[in-house]
Amino acid sequence: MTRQSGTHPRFLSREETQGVMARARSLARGGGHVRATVESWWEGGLEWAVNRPTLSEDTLGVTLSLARDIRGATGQVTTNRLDEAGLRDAVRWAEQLAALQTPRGEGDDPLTVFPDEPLPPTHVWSDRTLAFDGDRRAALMGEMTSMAQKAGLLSFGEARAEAVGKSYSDSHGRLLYQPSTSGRFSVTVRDQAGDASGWAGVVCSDWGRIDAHGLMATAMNKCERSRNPVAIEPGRYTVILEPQAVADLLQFLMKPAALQAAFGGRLGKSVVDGRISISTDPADPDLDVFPFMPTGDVVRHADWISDGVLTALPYDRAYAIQNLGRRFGLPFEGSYRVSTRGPTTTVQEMVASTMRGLLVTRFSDFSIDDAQHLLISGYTRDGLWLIERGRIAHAVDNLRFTESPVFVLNSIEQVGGDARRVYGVAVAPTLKVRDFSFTSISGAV
Amino acid sequence: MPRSWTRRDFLISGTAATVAAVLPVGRRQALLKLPTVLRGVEGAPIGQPADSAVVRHLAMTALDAARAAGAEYADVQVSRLVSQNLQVMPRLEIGPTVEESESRGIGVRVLVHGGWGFSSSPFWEVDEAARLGRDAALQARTNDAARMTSYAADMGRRSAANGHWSPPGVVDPFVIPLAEKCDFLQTLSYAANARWVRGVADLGVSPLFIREERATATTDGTFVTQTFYMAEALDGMPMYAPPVSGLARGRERQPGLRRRARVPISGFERAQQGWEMIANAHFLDQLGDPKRLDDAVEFARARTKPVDVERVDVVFSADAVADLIADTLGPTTQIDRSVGYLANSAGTTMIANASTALDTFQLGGPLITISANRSLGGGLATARWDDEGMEPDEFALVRSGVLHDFQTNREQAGWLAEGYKRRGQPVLSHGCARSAHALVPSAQRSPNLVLQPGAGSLTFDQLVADTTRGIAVLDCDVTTDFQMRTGTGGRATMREIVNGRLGAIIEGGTFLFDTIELWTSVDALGGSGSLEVHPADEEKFGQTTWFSVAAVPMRARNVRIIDVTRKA
Repeated sequence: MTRQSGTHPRFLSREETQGVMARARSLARGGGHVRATVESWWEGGLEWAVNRPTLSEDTLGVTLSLARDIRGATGQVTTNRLDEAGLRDAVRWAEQLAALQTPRGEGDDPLTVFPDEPLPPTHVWSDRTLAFDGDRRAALMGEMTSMAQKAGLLSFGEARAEAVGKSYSDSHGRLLYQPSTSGRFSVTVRDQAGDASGWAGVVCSDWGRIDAHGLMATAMNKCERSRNPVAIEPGRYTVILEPQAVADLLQFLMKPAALQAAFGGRLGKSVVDGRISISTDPADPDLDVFPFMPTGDVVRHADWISDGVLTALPYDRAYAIQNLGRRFGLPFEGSYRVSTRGPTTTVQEMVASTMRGLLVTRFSDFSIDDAQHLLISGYTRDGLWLIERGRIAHAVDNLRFTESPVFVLNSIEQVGGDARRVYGVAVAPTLKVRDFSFTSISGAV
Repeated sequence: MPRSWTRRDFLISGTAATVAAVLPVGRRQALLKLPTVLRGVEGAPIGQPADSAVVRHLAMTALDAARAAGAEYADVQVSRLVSQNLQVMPRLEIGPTVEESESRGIGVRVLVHGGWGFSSSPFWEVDEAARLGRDAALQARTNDAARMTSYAADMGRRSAANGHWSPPGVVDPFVIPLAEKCDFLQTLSYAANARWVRGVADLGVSPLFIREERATATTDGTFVTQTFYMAEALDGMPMYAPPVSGLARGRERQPGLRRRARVPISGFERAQQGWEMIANAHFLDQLGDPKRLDDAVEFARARTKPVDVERVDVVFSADAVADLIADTLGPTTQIDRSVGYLANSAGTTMIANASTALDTFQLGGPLITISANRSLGGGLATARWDDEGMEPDEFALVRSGVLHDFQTNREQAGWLAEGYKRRGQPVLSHGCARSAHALVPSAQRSPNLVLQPGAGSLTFDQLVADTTRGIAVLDCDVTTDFQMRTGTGGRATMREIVNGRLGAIIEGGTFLFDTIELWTSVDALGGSGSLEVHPADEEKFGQTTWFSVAAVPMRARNVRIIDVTRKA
């Protein structure tokens, strides 16, 4: 699966990773165990601005995190040297760091001994992404900027492809390995005066599924429709949040600590609108769920919220062993899908049924005002339109908002059937939400 | 060379005697035992410097290959970065926790036909260096197919620098044996904790040290090597005391404490320093400073009040001013951001035409003069040469409130040629080309920023005393929109000012600002004696780099205060 790129492969294969681990084990002294995660990658990217390329790059990387567990003490080092001298240094340093600590016992730490568990099938690899080389990236960029120039607009964007080999291994004989790819495309289109801006983008493991021309057309359309914005009073508005805007807000909720803070102690209880479910499924073809964590824990299907009811919270293996009597944890890998139940509504129908509201493309520049209650502030960006009496009236100046993703998920009026992958780790639909709070005008374009 | 404290120094000073007197027998024995345990692990090789001949050979091989592949200009970075994070929590009695890392890299940047290519890898091998040189040129050439309009990158005046630099006065933390560092930190923690009565939260000490050895070579004939350092002592340095117990040994119980008393300890923020940050901090002296303790008690006693949404005069501490500069005027004066190079990520600026804006665009009032440099002692952006071999200069970004210049590298200086010509200034890079590591491409990144102090000798306390009614902002987190036109100062520590005195702590307060309006409303600045240096970071093109901001306290009139927890 690896491809030669000069002297070194783009990323390490399973066999090459096993070789690294075997060499590290052979260098260990003083008993105990060796644990290691190896991540190696290739990334190719092209960025452009004002309709011309700014940088084309092709890079390789590797990181080895190695831990020596000796009589209950652990020393850990990170290095990107995988030659013999580098591995020897890393093992020695880790042993010396372990020696600094007070040994806590002779037996194995139960957390370092994993029960057998197969990796789930996933959709994280694409040959088409691996093949997205510099010439293809340049050709694509030329097509994008040509579209912008013909319309008298300026485009700014990125097209990236990455291939990664990740592994977890230990001297108990456990070896987890998975190659993966990631494609990233985003584009901003602005008018010559800098008074209007539109954006579109997506992240996906398979470059073949990225409709760059479609996204470019979307960004251009948003730019054209953003001209001559007017200022409106801040306040509470009904908003139609496009999928990117939904994901931009939910990123603050969909973290283990935030989920615990927001919903801890409420398993089995209704926490959000009953039409909403949030899950992580490695087998989901639209989600690029990596099958294991850096700790060696395997990622499995989890329904976090089902029809508005909290059905699971993430926990690590230590908690599972000590508190639940289970052998496995339930880690949250980061990717998630927001799905909906019941009748869905198109964006056009949402607009038509809105007396007064705002259509939001996305948010940016966030601050967490109140971590305990997950109150977030930020700004709208790259397309904001006022809706009046069922029609999009005109573009408006960007606004600063103060809102909570939990409040948003509890204030849903309509759900869209258009769930799609966003520029990030989520699949989300359009949501129409009432009483969304905008607190001041920004004026940024 | 700055004095290096060892455990022997503690013994001489009698601090160890103090420790021995207050600690239970078991803990005294643990303290005495530690050096024996640690002594066996000295001499870790992580501190060994890279072989300079190997580094030079790699750099030149990459450069030669880039030239052969048609590079019109190329620069090569070869770097080795090591880090060490120590965590010492003596009350837990588990011994210190140390994490170490090492990262090597070669990065080649090439210019061909006005297009830039970049290639990098972690493998310090001659064949790999040659491959990177060829591949970077190939990447640059692929841009030919993508280009719709012609563009010629003017790299300006050539620079051929040679030599070595490392910041003066830095004690390399990686040559000090790990055992000695841990021993010192353990003893420091015990001595500090010994000054407090029962019930004190554990004082942990967690310094982070980073060292980067960097070689830079360019097709103009530059070959330089530099060593950069970064140190900070994370969490746990400030002292905490529960509200109902006494504050310091020998003091009476302090009634009326509403919150934990926090004694601020200065000198541990991130800076380009080494072991001397810890050894020379006079930590115990600061802890014993009566004024610091009195200020901590006063703050712990202050009552609280809810925020009023209003416009008031605000006195900002130097720390808060540094944050404001780093997040408003700093990025506003970055030329690549103004031109649009970050339009698809962080955003642009409010300055549409950079060249015509020089000397005309009003960013603030007449008191505001901001300069930039890469020479500030201990500055996080301080260097002798930038990534293109240029020696950075000190230059004004904002002069008496008016935009004077931008942060530039060699290519970007040419973008301002029209403006420079207008005022008879040569077209020269200010030396702002930087990368976080050889593995990522160089770009224009923030130098150190300096707010020129006021002409007098005002201090923060004097600014407060001169304010009849207002608010003091002691610290804050600044967030702006994606053009830095407006922003907020959130999670702020605010106190009301009543008749020139600090009063109640204001809960939930945030200030909302229009950038130009805020900087125009400044009517008083602290003097040079109140200048403080604080760290700041920026994320740009997927990398995080650090710089320092030197700022003084200031007062701004009529600033809008909001309740951030109140929705519309």
